[in-house]
Amino acid sequence: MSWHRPDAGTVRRLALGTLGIAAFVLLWWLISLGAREVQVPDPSSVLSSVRENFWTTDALEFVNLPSGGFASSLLATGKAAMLGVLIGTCLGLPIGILAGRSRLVRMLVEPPLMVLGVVPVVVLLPFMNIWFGNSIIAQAGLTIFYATLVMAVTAKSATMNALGKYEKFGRSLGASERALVFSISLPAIAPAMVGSLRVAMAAAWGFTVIAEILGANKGIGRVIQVFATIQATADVIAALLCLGVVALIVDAVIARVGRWYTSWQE
Amino acid sequence: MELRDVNREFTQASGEHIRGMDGVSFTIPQGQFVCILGPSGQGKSTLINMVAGFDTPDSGEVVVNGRPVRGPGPDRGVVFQRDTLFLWKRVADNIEFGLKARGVPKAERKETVDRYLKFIGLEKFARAWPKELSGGMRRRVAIAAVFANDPEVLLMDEPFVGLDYVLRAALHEVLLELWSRTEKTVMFVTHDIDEALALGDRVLVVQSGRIVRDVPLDFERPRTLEVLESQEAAHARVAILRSMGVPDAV
Repeated sequence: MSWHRPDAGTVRRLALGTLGIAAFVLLWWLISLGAREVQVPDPSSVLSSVRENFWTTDALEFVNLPSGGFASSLLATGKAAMLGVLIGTCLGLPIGILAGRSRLVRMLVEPPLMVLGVVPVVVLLPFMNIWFGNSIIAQAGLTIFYATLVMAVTAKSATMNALGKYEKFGRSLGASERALVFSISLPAIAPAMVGSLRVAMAAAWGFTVIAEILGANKGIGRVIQVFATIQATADVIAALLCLGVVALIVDAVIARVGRWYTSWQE
Repeated sequence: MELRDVNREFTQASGEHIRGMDGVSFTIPQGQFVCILGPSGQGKSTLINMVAGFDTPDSGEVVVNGRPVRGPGPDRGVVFQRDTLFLWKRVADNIEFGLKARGVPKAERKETVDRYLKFIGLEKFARAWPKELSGGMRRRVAIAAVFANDPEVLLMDEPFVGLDYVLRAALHEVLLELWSRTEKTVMFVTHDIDEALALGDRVLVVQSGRIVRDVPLDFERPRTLEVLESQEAAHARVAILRSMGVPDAV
């Protein structure tokens, strides 16, 4: 593998990004000087908390949580978030493609999608606990619901756009219905789906953490809730910081894989 | 190919009825290159959509090789005005698509794809994405993809619109060479009279959904500049222009 010298644009972007982070940390530090530790802890105490709690967090044992630290909690949260997005994609994608291809399915599916689309997702949380108890599905329930909607709506519009452009050509070349779906519709909508996948995944972290705060025995949301109860603000921010970094890494991976998969795009 | 008293009416959003096809009847013998000429919005594309099977007549019948048209099919290949190459398939895979859809064996597919790539001069671009090709190269691939699928009739809906004159002339050459080798029946829609004179055996002039003139272009091929300047070509041009309603003196 050869090393390529980064171009001027990349260097500028990295430099400005670093400068932005540095300015944010400086502002944070300045604010912390005039506030109590419990209100706004300074950046160094937050970093210390990350160091101390990342692999093991003894304090959590007192509230019957595994002491595996932020890492294991993030893993649990990540699993629930990704499972939710995966199930939502598996449900939403075929619904959207079918709705995009068939007027009849569209007429059946569009009204419920519109109604469910305006429901504030968080109000469904009590139902998740009633239906699925304390299981991972309960933690992922909101994400499943949201991801299904997002993927179905995007897949429907993208399929309808692709149909106009490519379906006639495919049919005139003798493509079967199966080929029209798998060789034309699916790849044609891939760029739009990658964008929606990133949106769904970004929302999934938030939904999962909320679900954990309101009723789970593991996950970073539960850790945040415990620390918030004992007013350990630095630890709460440290947990949030770790969650943000993990979410950014996952988003970057999805974006990179998506770019590779849709490298044919103009 | 035969159209028998084909009628098609469209209703606009305003509620107004427009006659897209008005009692259209004509026959195209096997292997003939027919240009459908006329101003925009007069029914040229409606006509090609009927033959392709993308649209259905309100009355009348479209028959291709003795079979009534009931929908799109690989026996009628279509080259569209807009670029419809599958952007997620490489050049060779685009040309192979129809062959694969029809279940042609792999070895035969490869041989056909290689032959057409060579013919259109894009062997080196077999593994390229369509986005890596110029506009002219993309049109060549689209034509090759349709010819490679071995349709009985080739329908072309203003396939070279928007290209410069030189590029268009080069593509005409590719098209005519493929046509003369394969002896396919071609229906070529254009609004450019020079293009029709350079390509066709015959010109059907469409106006208000009707065939208003059927002009045979019997002058020799290849249609060199000299041939296109001949008395015969000039007469055909004048006949076509008159049928399109262009006045003698402007």
